[in-house]
Amino acid sequence: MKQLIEYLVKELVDDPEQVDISEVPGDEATTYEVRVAPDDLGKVIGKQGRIANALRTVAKAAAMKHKRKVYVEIVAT
Amino acid sequence: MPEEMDALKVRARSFAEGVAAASEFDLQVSVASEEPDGVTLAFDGPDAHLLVGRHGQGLDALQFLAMLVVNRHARERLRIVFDADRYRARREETLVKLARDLAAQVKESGEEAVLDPLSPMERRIVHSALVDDPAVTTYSEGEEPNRYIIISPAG
Repeated sequence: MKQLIEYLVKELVDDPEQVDISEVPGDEATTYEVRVAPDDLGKVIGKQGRIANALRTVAKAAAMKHKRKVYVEIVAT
Repeated sequence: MPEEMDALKVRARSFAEGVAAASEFDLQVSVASEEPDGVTLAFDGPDAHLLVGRHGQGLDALQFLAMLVVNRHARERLRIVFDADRYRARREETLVKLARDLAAQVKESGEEAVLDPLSPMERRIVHSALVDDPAVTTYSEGEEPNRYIIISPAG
């Protein structure tokens, strides 16, 4: 899952080297914190959060493999 | 510019291959169909259903991201459709049948039929299924994402 999110985020941004995804395990859900270069924030959030929501939807579908709940959060650095 | 479209199609396919590899799922990518300005890429294999999501929302999200990534620096716009586990293909068959059944009812009763909300892509399938039927007309009402089709008697 981490690899899939990382792949998608790196494709979306101008500066893939600054992409960092950290996996934060929790009791009920795993959270993926997405960090990108400040100039790339808009490219992973989108108008009205459309891009971030698409990332969440893809992650949510893929997480069904392990029946896990996942959250994807874009973290400003 | 057909050359640019060809380059975008190659790019779309490599994006799909990248998704398949990064997902660590058992997936194969193939070109299901191609038009001058569009391509449908299909994921198949034991894990393909995992990309579909609830009511195909996983596929909608993935193809939205693909169009952003692939068309980002392009002057023209490639339309990209993703299918997985034949979800879109089966859904199209269902929608075409629904459209024809409802059109038959509308003709018989003379009353309009109102469908559940559909995505723009799925509304297009319903409209084109009935475009050649002179006895009914179709139109959409409501705002996204709750826009829905009405089938009404012609004239």
